[in-house]
Amino acid sequence: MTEHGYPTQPFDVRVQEALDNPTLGPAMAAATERFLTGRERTWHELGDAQAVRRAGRAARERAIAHLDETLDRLASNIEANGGHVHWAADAQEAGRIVLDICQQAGAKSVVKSKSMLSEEIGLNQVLETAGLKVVETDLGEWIIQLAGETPSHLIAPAVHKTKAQVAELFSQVIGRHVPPDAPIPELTRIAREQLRQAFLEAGVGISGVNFAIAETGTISLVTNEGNGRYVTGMPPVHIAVMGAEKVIGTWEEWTTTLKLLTRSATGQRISSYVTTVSGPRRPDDADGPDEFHLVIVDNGRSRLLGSTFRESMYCIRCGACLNACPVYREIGGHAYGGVYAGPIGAVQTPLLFGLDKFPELAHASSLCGACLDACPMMIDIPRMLLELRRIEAEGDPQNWTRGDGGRRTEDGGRTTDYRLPTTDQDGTPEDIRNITPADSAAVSRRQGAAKPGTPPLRPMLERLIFRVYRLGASWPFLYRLGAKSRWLLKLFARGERIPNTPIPILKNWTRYRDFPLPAAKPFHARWDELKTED
Amino acid sequence: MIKDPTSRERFLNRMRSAVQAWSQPAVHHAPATTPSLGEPAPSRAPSPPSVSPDGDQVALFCEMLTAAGGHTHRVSTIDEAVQTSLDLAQARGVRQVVLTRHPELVSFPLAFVTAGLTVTVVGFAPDETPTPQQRAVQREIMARADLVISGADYAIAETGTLAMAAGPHNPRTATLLPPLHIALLDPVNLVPTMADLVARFKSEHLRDGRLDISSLTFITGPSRTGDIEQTLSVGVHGPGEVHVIVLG
Ligand code: SF4
Repeated sequence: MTEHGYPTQPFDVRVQEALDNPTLGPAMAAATERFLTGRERTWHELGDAQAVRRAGRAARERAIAHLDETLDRLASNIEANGGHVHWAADAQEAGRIVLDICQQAGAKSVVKSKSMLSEEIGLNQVLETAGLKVVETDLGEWIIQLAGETPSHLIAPAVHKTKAQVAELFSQVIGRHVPPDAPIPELTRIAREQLRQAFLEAGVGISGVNFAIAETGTISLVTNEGNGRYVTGMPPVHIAVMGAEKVIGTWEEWTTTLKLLTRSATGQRISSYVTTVSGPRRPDDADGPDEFHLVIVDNGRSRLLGSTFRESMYCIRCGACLNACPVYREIGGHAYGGVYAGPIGAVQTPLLFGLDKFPELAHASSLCGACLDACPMMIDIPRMLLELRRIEAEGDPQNWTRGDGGRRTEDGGRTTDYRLPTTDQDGTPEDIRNITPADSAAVSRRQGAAKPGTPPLRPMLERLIFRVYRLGASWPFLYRLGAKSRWLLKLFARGERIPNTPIPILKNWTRYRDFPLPAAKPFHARWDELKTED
Repeated sequence: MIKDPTSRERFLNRMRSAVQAWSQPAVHHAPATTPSLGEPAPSRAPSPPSVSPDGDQVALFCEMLTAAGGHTHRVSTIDEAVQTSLDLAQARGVRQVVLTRHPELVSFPLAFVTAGLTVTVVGFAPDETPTPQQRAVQREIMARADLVISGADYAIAETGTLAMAAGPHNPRTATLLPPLHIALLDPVNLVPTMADLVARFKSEHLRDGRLDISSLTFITGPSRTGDIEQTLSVGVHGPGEVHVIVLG
């Protein structure tokens, strides 16, 4: 499916696979619908929901506006609580740090609770290559780990799996046949037994972080299953990994964002469990880990911080934009090819992993704005998608912080500003590509991607079509002529739409979309009629 | 573990450069917030109205916990609470019980032992500083128990949530390992909202800017998952059944 975060299949193949998958479509529709309804139900209880959203956004803005200070405060407080803080510039360093801690602890097996960051940095491969047994303990994550796949939804990672497929996977694990029609509670019980054993045996627990609270050096985790409580509370060593942006100033701000997170994610007022951890077990505590480590990861985030894409760092990974997105609902998470799917993934994946490697994602959107409406942090995803398209068309996709991508406005106003820092105080180039796994094999297998350094990325034909369109749109008589093409296009239409045309120029476009026929009576004709009626 | 002492400086310097680049007067003065969103963001969320604003908080707590899949029982005496728990345990064929070292629970063991159940009190007396062996034994006992009975350090009415502060008397995994959890709630520990809880928690546990406990855990109903065909299933890792007995 993906290798080190890079897809092995071109985008169009991934999309086609998703559209052809018979279980994915209905499952996606049901899941996204369920989350949307739940959200609707609990959202209005917030009273002035807009005000809560603004407060949540303001809290994130404050933390990110002084990210250096917020992180410094967080780290000092964690150390004062008896924990250790590690700083990873990139994915490799993060992997190395976590592996070091595991080896120091003499761990043979590791239990993990869901963490998107660990997917981003390819942590499981690092640990497994070193001979550690890694067990994902979120039920959905465990299922897809058994199947050797990657998550298809932020909140419901195994949404594309049927009960019978799960029974089949479990049969292999427990070495005993589980009938395909086994009731779900039975499957849950099998998982409980298997994973319970893993918790008791593990030498290290690895968790993500939903928010880290700077003022007291506390990390918090939300789960419904309770695996987060095990991972953080049972093994002798707990390692939490977090992206640098996951920090928030105070417990009061945490309260506000937590409310928004659970409501936006699953429509719950609060999740079944919210765990807060402030360092390791105190000496007289009855249980809890002897060691607590927090690994804070940059991996491209410092580039986002100084750029017009800074806003994407306010994301709390609730998944609301995914559920709201008509494109995501059709194709699911895998088609995006990166770790982060959906609208926010279409922004973050190219920025973190390379614009040249994911040139299509900014186009996997109809720019309808549903994501912006849904986002509790009011992140203007359509603006950033447009910005990405623009950089891709006219900027330098290899060095987007050097071109307009570094301009500091968040309002989409056109301004050019090249005065970004090029080095930090240590002389480290600001622009180092933090993620460069030597994965050229996987990348070269992708036919759709442009070779690095071959601007512009948009195909010749597409640029030609837009030129022709521009010409047509600026000359009324040409435009009228174009509108008359209805009779010709009608030959290929079903009703008012052209589903899949053999017309070469439109072929690629209509493979996944329907092309609307020009109206029988175009607007300008109706306008003329209206005027004569007056 | 080789820890590079300069990694923190380098990391924070990278962030600082980006932060400074952003806050230098930009060519184009744009508000940090998306402008279409109207008036400037307030620094704190307005306190939201609870679901039934004037109603009694215990009733609201019970309503919310029930909505989250938990069960509630209102009793007026400790004896009634003991009896209710014993009835719940016996109806489910419980044999092994663990109790946390909570002052309100002192009268529970006798009734359970008399009824023929095995009872272990987990957790340690303050300043006892348990040895690793003692902790391992307790973990084994908790992992085998059919039922845990705990107190509740705090509870939140607007969400039906219990909050447990880790400590010598209160193992964090005690309320996680057994399949059945009964908690005794004294309404003096019940607050209307999460914001109220945070205020109270800070006043009780924040000393000179430092928290004196390692973990605060919030529990709302049973352990649940929808990961297989989006069908709700309880008890996947934690307790599948949660009962709260409200005193008074
Ligand atoms: S962009 Fe907004 S809606 Fe999407 S996951 Fe992030 S916070 Fe949620």
